[in-house]
Amino acid sequence: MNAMAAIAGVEAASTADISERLATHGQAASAEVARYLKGGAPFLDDLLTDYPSRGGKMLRPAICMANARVFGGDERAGVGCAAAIEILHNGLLIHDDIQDGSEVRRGRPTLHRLHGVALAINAGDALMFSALRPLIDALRPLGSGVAKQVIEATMTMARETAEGQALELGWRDRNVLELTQADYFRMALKKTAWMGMIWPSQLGLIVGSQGRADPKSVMRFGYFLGIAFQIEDDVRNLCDDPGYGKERNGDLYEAKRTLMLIHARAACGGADRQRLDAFLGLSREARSRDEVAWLCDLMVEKGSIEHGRAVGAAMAGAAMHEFSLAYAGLPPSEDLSFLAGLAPWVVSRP
Amino acid sequence: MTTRKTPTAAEPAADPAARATRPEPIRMGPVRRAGARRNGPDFEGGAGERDEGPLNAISEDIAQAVRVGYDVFSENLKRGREAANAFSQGEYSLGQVPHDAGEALKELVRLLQQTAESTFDILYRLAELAAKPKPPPPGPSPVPPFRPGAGDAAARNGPAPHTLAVTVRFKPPAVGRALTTSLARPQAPTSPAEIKASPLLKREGAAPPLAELSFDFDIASGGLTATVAVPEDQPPGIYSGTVWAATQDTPLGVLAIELGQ
Repeated sequence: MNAMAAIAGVEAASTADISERLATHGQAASAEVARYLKGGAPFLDDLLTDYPSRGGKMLRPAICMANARVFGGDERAGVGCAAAIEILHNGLLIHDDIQDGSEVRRGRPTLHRLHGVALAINAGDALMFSALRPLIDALRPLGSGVAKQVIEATMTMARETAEGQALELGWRDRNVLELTQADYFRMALKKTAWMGMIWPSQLGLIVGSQGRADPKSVMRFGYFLGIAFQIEDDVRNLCDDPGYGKERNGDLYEAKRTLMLIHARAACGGADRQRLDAFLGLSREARSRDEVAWLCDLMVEKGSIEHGRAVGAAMAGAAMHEFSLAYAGLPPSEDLSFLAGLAPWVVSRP
Repeated sequence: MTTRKTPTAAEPAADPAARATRPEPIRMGPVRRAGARRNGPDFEGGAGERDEGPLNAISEDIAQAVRVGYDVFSENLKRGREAANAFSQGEYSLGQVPHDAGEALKELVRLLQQTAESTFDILYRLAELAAKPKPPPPGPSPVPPFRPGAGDAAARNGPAPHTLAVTVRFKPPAVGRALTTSLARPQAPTSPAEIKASPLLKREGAAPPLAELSFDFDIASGGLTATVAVPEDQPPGIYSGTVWAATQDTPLGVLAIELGQ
């Protein structure tokens, strides 16, 4: 393996190795997703398979499958859970796009732009319920004890994710201005880290260890990984090409309370603060290109983007530290190296 | 690490090839000038307006961010634990809800809990049934044991229970108590030296992990003794780690202890 560093004795996978692992686990999970979403119902099944067929990093399923393997299980133990995670994730994406008024997803028009809001919501609902099937099928051979652990982890994730989404939407819709860095971390923990990193890690750990390892042990790793991932995503949204099929500066048009926006607002005063607050109080349609350009320049001038990158890197460092504690003593494997390499990867991914 | 171009809204349209580039770093080493800071706002308080605040090292901002990150996580865990406690005791925070509605909701929660449990119990039984061989062929039933109770004796002499008793000792003694009393029995012959545990991590808040653990055979109980070394200034709380046997891939369980004040 072309390793780039060692974390507590575990060789962290290089970017190329991580891409390969994502592809391997992603293909296995995608095949399972396609199997479960197969059907011919009019106005429904084409919509269900649309987002999954557009590709994606497949990070969540890969985290689940890698954890299942490092905690003793084989690929079969994790692939059903990974499929459930991916199906649920795509259902949530459809609803997110509607709530955010997003126009582009993975390089193509969002589902509600293609089919209308009503059919898109219905498809999102159907995907979320469809996720239960591969999950139950995966858990059946493992017994009720393991199933109960998975249900507990899933219920917690569902609650935390809904709270996180509510925070972000509430801040925007009620034009909440006085936010701190801690508020941002709290929101990102709930909205991103729980569903994207903590829950997949926990599901993999539970099914891989057959319920004998502690799901709480991987929470801090998932949390810091998720925060680093979210900050990096937010920074990329301000770049020339966000790199994941979303429109540039979409977060500014949506007035998303990112770490950079919170930083910029705290760093400026007087006329700049007034202008920024006025911008945030506008509707999405009323936010002009010129004002977005001004805000982007303000963030550069105040060092907010540089700060975001630095905090993202620091969170990745904290994730590496937590990895060294949570996965200490596990036998070396490609999946363990994959997990070790994720923290540096999230802030340097292609 | 790949780098990326610093964005400005006024820049021309995206060049995909240029996306993964970052500008040359402004500095190549740490800022050592006392109090040096680039536009670092105090945004933990959030409310104050300032264009030019006092200069501090940027690394202080980042260290503070990591501290806040840990605080937020600990606070979230604490809230989750309190909610779980209330839930397990049947309180559900329904003190302010009208009695009838509260009772109805409690009943619904109980029902959902039971339903979920029953569903998976049924699924488990179905899976067990599906895994069993075909029904016995028609014909006379197997002859029962000649002596009454012989079957019970056979059961007593059959496979050992699947669990292994664990006693935890502390060094120094009496600084804590064990929350784990049993682990899964290894599937293959295993010596105590082949049993390891990952460092015991504190469940809430930051603390150095307890990494000095050893296992021994306990003749009295026929199980294991785990010895945990506890440094003098170790913070109190619950610590846990995963126990592994070198002879198998799946773990034996979680070793959890509680350290007192």
